[in-house]
This record gives sequence, C-alpha cells and structure tokens, in this order.
Amino acid sequence: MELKIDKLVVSYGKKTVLDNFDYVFTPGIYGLLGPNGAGKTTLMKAITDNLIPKSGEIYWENSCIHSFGSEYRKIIGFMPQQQNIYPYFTVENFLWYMASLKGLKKEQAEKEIDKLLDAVHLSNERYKKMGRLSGGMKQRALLAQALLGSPQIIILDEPTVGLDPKERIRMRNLLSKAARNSIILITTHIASDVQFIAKDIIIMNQGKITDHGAPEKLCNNINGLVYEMEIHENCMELYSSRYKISNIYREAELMKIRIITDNPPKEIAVNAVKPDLEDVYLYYFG
Amino acid sequence: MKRMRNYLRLFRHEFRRTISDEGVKRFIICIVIMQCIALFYWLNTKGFLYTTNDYKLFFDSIEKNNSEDINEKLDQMLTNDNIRNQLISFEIRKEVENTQNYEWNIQQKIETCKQMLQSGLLVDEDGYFAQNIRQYIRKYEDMPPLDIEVGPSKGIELLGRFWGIDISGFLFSVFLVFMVIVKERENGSFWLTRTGKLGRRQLGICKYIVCNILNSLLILVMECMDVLLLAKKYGLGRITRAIQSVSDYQGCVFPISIRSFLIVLLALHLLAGYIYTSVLFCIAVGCESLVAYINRCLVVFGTEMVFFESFSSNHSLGFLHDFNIWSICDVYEWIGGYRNINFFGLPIWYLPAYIFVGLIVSAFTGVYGIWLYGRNFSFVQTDSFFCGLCRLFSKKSVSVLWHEFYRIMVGEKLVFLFLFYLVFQIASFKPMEEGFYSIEDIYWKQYMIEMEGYSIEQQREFLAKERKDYETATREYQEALERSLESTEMLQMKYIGETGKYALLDRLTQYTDYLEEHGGVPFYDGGYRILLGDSIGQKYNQYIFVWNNVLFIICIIYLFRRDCQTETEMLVHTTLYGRKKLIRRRMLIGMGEILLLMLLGYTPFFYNVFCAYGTQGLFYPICSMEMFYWVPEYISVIEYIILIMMCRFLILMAEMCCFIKRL
Repeated sequence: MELKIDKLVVSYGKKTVLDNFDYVFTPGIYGLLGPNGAGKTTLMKAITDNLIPKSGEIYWENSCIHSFGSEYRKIIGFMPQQQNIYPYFTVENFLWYMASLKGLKKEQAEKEIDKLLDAVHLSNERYKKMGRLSGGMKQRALLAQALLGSPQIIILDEPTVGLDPKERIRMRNLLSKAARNSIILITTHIASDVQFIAKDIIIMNQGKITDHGAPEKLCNNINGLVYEMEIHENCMELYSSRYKISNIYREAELMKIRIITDNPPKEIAVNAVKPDLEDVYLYYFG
Repeated sequence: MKRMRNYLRLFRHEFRRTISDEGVKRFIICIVIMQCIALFYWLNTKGFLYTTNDYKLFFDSIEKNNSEDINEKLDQMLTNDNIRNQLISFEIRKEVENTQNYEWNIQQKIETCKQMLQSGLLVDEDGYFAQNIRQYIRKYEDMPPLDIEVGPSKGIELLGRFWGIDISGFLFSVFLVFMVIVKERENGSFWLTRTGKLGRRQLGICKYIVCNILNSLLILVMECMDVLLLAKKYGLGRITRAIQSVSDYQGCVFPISIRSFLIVLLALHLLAGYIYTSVLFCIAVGCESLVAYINRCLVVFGTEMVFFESFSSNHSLGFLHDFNIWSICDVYEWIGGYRNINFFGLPIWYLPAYIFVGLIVSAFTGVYGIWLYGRNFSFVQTDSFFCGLCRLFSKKSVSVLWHEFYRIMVGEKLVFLFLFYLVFQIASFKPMEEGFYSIEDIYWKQYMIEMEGYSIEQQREFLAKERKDYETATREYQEALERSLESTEMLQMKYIGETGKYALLDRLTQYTDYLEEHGGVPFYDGGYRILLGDSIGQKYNQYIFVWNNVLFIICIIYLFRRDCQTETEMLVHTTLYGRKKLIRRRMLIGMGEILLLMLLGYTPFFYNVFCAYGTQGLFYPICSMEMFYWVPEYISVIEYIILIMMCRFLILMAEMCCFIKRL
C-alpha cells in the first residue's frame, strides 16, 4: 500500500502553493505541520482529487490516481474542519447519507455505522440533530463518517479541535488502530496531538517540505538547542528580542522562560532541556 | 451626547459596510434596470390607439386653451382625413370630457347615493351601509372648489397604478435584510459583533435604520425615475392643478394639487417600504441561515397572500384582506377614491386606518426585532415535533436519490413550499366563465360548433346553404319593410337576430379559404386561444410563469446552495458518488420539482379553461387556428399544448443548469 506524490506543483495564478512536492506515504499516521499558507490544505485537496495540479502526479499503488476514475475516491475518507454540516440531519441520518455517497452496501453500512457510533461514543446521540450537537460531538460524528467504509487513505483536517482531553486520547487510540491498514494524514496546529502517534511528521513551509521524519528524530535534531532559565521580569523585553521563546511561566517577579537558541546566554544560569515537537515547530517558524 | 455620538459612528460604519457590499451594489443596479424594462414594457403594451408622442404633442398644442377651443380642436381632428388623428381625437375626447364634467360626475355620484338612501332598499337605516353612504355623501359635498383643468393625465394615471416600485422595493428589502442580518449569522461574524460593547441592541437599532434608509432611498430613486420618465413621455401638464383633473383620481377626496399628490404617493410608497422592511427585519433576526429565512418569509407572506386572495373587503373577515401586507400593492386604491371598511358596523375611512395599523405593526415588529437581536434570539428549538416527524420518514437506505430527496424535502423543509403553493392555489381559485367580446363572437361559436370536423367540401356546401338562407331572410326583411306592417324598429329587432349571424359569412368564407390553403378542420378554439397565450391567456400565463420561476429559484437554492455555503462541497466531492451521480440525482429531483410546480401552477388554469370552453377539437390540427398557420398540419392541438409545456419545462431546466454553476 503506497501513495506516492511525485514532483507536485500547484499554483493559484502567479503564486506557487505546492512547489515540487515529493513524498511517499505507506500505512501509518503522518502529521502535517506548518504555518498558515504553507500549502497543507492544497496538498489535501490534491490527494483527495479536488484540485488539478499544474504538474506532477499522485500515484496510488504505482498507478496514477486519475487512471482509477471515481473508484479512487472509494478508498478515501475525509474529515473537514468545518463543523456546520447538514445541521438538520440526525447523526444516524448523516452517516447513512455519507454511506450512500460512498457507495456502501446496506448491510455493510448498517454494521459499520453501529460500530463507529460506539467507537466515537455517539450511540446515545444518534437521533440528535447535527446542528444541536456540541463542537466535540460534531467532530466525533465527522470522524465517524471519515472512517466509514474502511478507507485506505484517511485525511483529517484539525481533528482534535473542540475535543476534551479524554476524547482526544480516545481519538488518538482509534486512529492508531485504524493506521494498521491505512495511511492517515493529519493536519494540525497542535503538535502534541501527533507527537505520540505519528510515524512521520512533515514540516511544510511555502509549498515545500522543510523537514520530515519521526517525531523523536526531529526532536533529536535540535537537541542541545533548548534551554530553560529564570530571569527578572524587567529583563523580559531584552530576552524576547534576542531569543525565540517557546514558553513563559511567571513566579512572582521571576519569569521562568524556555528558549531555543544555539548561542545560550552566558551571564545567567541555564538548563539544557529535552526538546519537544513544539520546540521543533518554533525552531523552524518562530 | 456621547451616546448619540456612539450611535452615529456605529450607524455610519454599518451603512458604509452595507452599501460597499458587492452583492448590494449589484442588486441595486439589477433592480433599477429591471424597473426600466418593466416601465418600458408597461408604456408600450397598453394598447393605446396613439403613441406617447402623439399624446404629448396634442396636449402641448392645447396648452392655455379654454374648453371651447379644446373641443373645437378635437372636432377638427375628428373630421380630419388622417385616420390616426381621428383615433387620437376619439380617445382623448373621453379623457377631456371626463375632466370637463368633473362637477357633474361628482353630483351624479351624490345623487345616486341619495336615491339609494331614499329608496328604502336598506333594511337597517342606522346600519353600516346606510352610515357608509351618508359619510360618502358628506365627504363629497364638503369638498372645497377645486382648480380643475384639462391636461395630460395618462402619465399620472400610470404612475399611480404602476406597482413595480413596491415589488422592487420589497425584493430589495428581502435581499437587504438577508445581507445585513442573516448573512452575518451564516458566516459567524454575528458572534464577533455581539462581544463588542455596542454590538447588541445598539447595533440592532443601527441595522434596522440602515435597512429602512437604504430601502427608502431606493424607493425615492425609483419614484423620481418614474416621474421623470412619464413626464418626458406623456407630460404632466400644469402640476399646480387639482389631482381631480386626472380621470382616474376624480374620486380622490383630498383637495390637493398634482405636485402634492406626487409627494403623497411617495410618502405612501415609503410607508409601505417601512412596513415590510420592519416585518422582514423581525423575521430575519431569528434565522440562522438563508434557507431558514426563506422558509419563514414564505410562511408569513404566503399566509398573508392567502388571506389577501381569499377574503374580499365585504367578507366578515374582510380586515384580513384590508389590513394585509399585500395591500401595499394597492397604493392607487388608497388615494384614488374614498373607501370605508366595516369595523364592527362602523364605517372607518380605509386610508387613515391602514396608515395607523401599518405604523403600529411596523413599530411593533421593529422594536420587537431589535429586542430579539439584542437577546440573540434564534428560531432553532430543541428536538421538536417536526424532528419526530423527520425520524418517522427517515429510513435506513443507501440510495443517493432517497437521501437527497429526504434532505431537501424534509431536512430543508422544502415540502412546506409546495404545501404553501397548493394552499395558495386552492385559496385563490376562482372559476372562469366563458367570455364574449361581442355578439359576433357568439355567432362565431355557433358556426364553429355546427361546422366542427367538416371537410372543405362540406364547409363550402354549408356556406352556400347559409348564404341562400341569408338571401331569403334579407328578401323577407325588404318585403316586410315595403309592406310596412310593423314599425321599422320592430322589424329591425325581429330580423337582426336572423340576419346578424350572416354578417360572419365573409369571415367564414375567408376561414375556409385559409383551411384549404393551410390544412386543418374548423372547430371552436376559444379555450385554446386562452391556453396558448391570446389576450387574457397571456396575463394568466405570465402570472403562472413568474410564480413558477420565483418558487423554482428558491427550490434550486435549497437543492444546491447548502454545499457551497459550507465546506461540505469538498467532503461530498471526496466520496465515490459525490460528483456526477450526485449531480444527476439532484437534477432528477429538480425535474420532479419543476413538474410539481407546473402541475400546481397550471392545473387550475387548464381545469378552468376546459370547464368554461370545453375540450372539443383537442385532437384536430393546431394549424386550424389562424394564429398557428406556421405549424405543420400533423401536429394536433393537444400535441402543441404538450410541446409548449415541454418548452416551459425545458426553460426551467436550463435555468437550473445555469444556476448549478453559479451556486
């Protein structure tokens, strides 16, 4: 099972949004990180065949995705970020509607809908209208529809927005299970969501891959560049202008700050700490 | 003072934001163009015997002439060899005489009323009718002397009767309120503005004022445009003369000049605008989406329309007709005459009563709307009865067609639109009666029924026999005249019935020649002429077409807009059947909707015509009707009707195809 993106170029007018994007996805979870306008959504659109690239191709199992016709969409599950979807449908209606659009057989749909409603903890809300659900519930309903039909490529746009910590962990576990037989691509701004489950993190900027690799590898790349120290609040302005600050914690008049730098301050005691994915993000885009 | 400044600043921003919206700008341009087209159409299809230029030239030529001079000029034109001058003279004479006889006309009205009172026909002498007549007499007797003068009046008549301003204003208001209130909710900025210090009640007030001011400005522009256009086309004459100088306004009880009348007319249009904008504002503040907004508008204005069409002023529930939002279409009725309404047996003057009720309703809806806006009211309720119904009709299916159908009909509640149309058609159904313009039409019908299905030879034989009968009748008439057994009038009356129908023999012969040349057989086609758009039929067809179009555009919005409104499009497009198949299914549903709308729209019309005129000759060639000489002989009437209906169907289909891309 392989999804290969080969020298993909996408432009809107004169602006190139994806610039010679190359990558090979195999089963597992991938996290897509990058600032606004990095080209994450465009990449998703291209993979879901909602956009025609200027050049380059996307291959599924070594065949161009366009050669599959509509059958290609049978293997895709997509979860949009927008929550205001069919507010008048009940959760169950919504899933049946999506099952019909995905071309599932009735028996298969019935079995999967029940299973997925249980998995996302929405069995008791199945007769509630989508418009009346809380943000987290809507998010779970959207995840359920994305998993409907056991797709081989699952694309999730900000899946954890609005979820409480318990549901966030449940979702992560659910995705980890599904990743055994699927390629799961998650775009998110919350680095911690993908840090523990992603096989690979792709860091994008201006339509190109800035860096990629397993989370540990990315963190190791900046090992020895992250420090914590305590400063007086009066010095805060000075340090802000000199260093990338990833966290500030106030204790009375003292400020405990976390900085990313290859040239730590000499005048004050600093502690080198283990970097996390947020530090990596800040290292590239801070 | 500070508060006032805040309000002004807020108002200025809101006004600028609304007016700079591309959609609002385009809508205004579109409405103004439509208004021009409507006015042009109105001016050119009234069937006058003269052009607007002829009319204006005549009145320019008689300016400052006295009555005798005017009549003399009209007589000269009548005796003129130029047939066009004769026609102008004939038509304008009626108008001029009407103005010259104003005093006499009013006196006649008063006399008739007095005779009605004295005749003892009224059962209750203190009842509503008696009181109404007394008030009517008093009103006209108390009229001060008026400055009546002959002058061009067609332009002013048209201005009063032209309903384009109110309809355009109403449509603009519907759109404007959507842009100002509902769109904000749809795109989520409503929650943002609410968090501001002045973002609740204060902002609601500003939005309400912006809607009213913009709508009033549009009405003002349109009225000015109409006045200028009509003044240029027909001329207004001396605008300080009394409005009663205009034939249509002789019943007006205000002693005002034409200039004041134009101001009053504008004020009434503005009042109408204020009423419907307030009601729309009140509806919109609780709507989360365009679809919900359209639904609520349909319920409110549809119900009003049903009341307006179902009850007449004389009905015991006549107030539902009189104090109705659709009465705004009757601005002419408000000032064109004097009318009292029956208020529990008391005659109340309609105009001030409507203004009073209108102001109360608009003030109430305006204030209530602002209050609701401040409180973030939403019509969306917790799981309701309708939700239960939804569950009842939902089923576990993987059919895309079923789900789309369910989504649109039940989810988007489009079913209510069709129910509304059904109720409206039932409420406004009036049986049609067969109409004849002249005695000739009746004779023609008799002939056609007699000759139905005749071949050319049979027709010639029949005509020869008729001609022979006609000659016999004429001879008998001449002999009777010579014998002078009865008076000439008696003889004329006796023989006119006998000979009258023979006057059509030439026409019949021409018709037979026509049939010989083009093919076809004779049959009575009165009903089909109406169905296929002749005179009265054209009005009906246009009416149904406009209704079907408006409702269908709403249907298309329900059918296709939801996906474009949200990110749903991408979600749906990423599924196996979310592209071609889904569009095909939606188009199928769209076709069903068109069929349903056509069925609901045309059935009463067809039923009425067939009941009144019969269905004879339905399978005869359509080219038998002279107006369809160009249609091949093998196409029958029924086939042609089906063809026309299919064309109408295809027009709506094409409309849908255009909209799919746009939406």
